[in-house]
Amino acid sequence: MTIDPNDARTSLDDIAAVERLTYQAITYDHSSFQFIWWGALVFCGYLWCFLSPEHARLGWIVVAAAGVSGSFALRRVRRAPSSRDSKLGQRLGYAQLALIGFGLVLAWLISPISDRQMEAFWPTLVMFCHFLAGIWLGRFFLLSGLTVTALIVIGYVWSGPWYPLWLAVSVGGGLIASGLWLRRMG
Amino acid sequence: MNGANETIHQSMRLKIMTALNVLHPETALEFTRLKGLVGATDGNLGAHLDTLERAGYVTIEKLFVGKKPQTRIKATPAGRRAFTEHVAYLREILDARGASG
Repeated sequence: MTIDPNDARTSLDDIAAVERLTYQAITYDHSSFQFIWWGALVFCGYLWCFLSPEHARLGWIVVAAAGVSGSFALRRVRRAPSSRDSKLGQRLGYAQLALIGFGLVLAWLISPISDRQMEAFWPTLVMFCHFLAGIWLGRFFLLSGLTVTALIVIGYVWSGPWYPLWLAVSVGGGLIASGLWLRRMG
Repeated sequence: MNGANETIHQSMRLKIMTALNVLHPETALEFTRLKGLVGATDGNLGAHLDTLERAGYVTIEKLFVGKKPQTRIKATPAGRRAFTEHVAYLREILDARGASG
């Protein structure tokens, strides 16, 4: 059997296309659990803010600790299906830690800010990262970043005393819905 | 230079082996997910998987998850080796053309 160069080029292009699709499916599938996990925690965090505003900071420390440790645990339990995904998973874990670190520094630099502003600060920062990730990863992250940011702004201006509940549904619910969508796509 | 692998070179089988080769050696892919990745119909995918299984390039496991039947496909070490060699052969063809042109 002989293969001419044009045929070889077509085959290599097919290989590259299927590789890209497969990596994308794996990334979506694995990211979905992270989205659902963080979505559930964020939902609980804002609910806690609504029910016990005086202990909100303690609640968020618990959410951040549970979020990061749970993310690392999820990666261990759900073995990465490819070596490239394993490295990507590790990098995403470190990216979460870096984001929390930068967020803490930024929050300190712009303080004092009200609790209401602080409650909008973190999800907006996270959604900004989603938007940036979307430039490389595709429309889904672009749209979810923009949509949830818009919901945060709407809630900040118009939701009055229901603000934490608005954020619980829009940010927590948005992350969970995104996770379920990613799971379907993966 | 290793020659072309006729079993793997067929377009659909090349796509199947590509998708399976991306995974860890111990990881299997569900039939429905593989079908979506390579853009095949049930019958077409089944026929090509039979060919790859007979060549010893994939293993096919049929099991039940709850009450639902599930077919899981995994590339064998021989399949991974054959795929890698075939891709290297394809690259050599292009390199040879680049060198001569």
